[in-house]
Amino acid sequence: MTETLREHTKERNSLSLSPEMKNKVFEVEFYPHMDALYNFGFRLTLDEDDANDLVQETYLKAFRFIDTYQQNTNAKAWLFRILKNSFINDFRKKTKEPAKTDYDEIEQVYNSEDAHYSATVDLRQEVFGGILGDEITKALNGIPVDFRLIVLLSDIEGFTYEEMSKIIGIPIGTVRSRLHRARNMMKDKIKEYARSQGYKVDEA
Amino acid sequence: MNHRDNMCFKVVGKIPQYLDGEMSEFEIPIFLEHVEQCHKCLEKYEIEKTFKEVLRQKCERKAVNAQLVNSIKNKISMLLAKG
Repeated sequence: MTETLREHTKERNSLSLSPEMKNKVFEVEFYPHMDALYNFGFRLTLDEDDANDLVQETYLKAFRFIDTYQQNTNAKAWLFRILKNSFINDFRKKTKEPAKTDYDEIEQVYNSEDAHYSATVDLRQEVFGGILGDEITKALNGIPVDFRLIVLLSDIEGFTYEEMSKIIGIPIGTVRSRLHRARNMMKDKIKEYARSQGYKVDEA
Repeated sequence: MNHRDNMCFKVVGKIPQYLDGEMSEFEIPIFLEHVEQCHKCLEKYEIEKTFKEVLRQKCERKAVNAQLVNSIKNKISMLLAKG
């Protein structure tokens, strides 16, 4: 959130919320999402303490920026965006992972019309039925963070493409292709595992 | 590519959109009609569907602990009291 944006918003809602109103927003709109935020934080960091910190940071930031939140809109998406930004900032600092890898380039390849068939991994249902104990969570944890993020938002939290576009800050077309890419990455990992367990895995 | 292959190609590409609830109501009947009639597409559809379902089921949801809930609510209350 930039200074100018904050100033702008303050000007627009020249009447800031009263403490009672703020309390109501927290009770009615923000607190009900605490479990979902914690789950998201935990799935991203795989660490309970880090997840606790992220949730706490999210609510403190929600308090600081509450005047920029439009009441009765999409509190869950708003809070998830805050948590995701905190996580990405911390994560980049810790891992020194470059801010952007070649994802955009990868995404362009997968956007091209004829990418479907070559990229689709064919997994028989019996493979899923048989192996997917912890393997699916392992596969999820084994893909790069930007891809893990989008699978969590979509498949675990059930956000729409439009909501994810706002939470992550990317166009809807990129949401669609990144999600597609992420799921294929996971399927590749599951396929590897299935093969190592002696399942016959068809080549696509 | 003949007409049928072309249709399969399009339908397979749209499976995620359908399962994610992002397909327009106009497209849904055409999509489903093809999937019901085409064995190959149905199989791909079932795989995608299972994948999504299993992912949702196997990622057990973690709940926040009561201590953290109280600590956050206390902090916010204090901030609100300060105005």
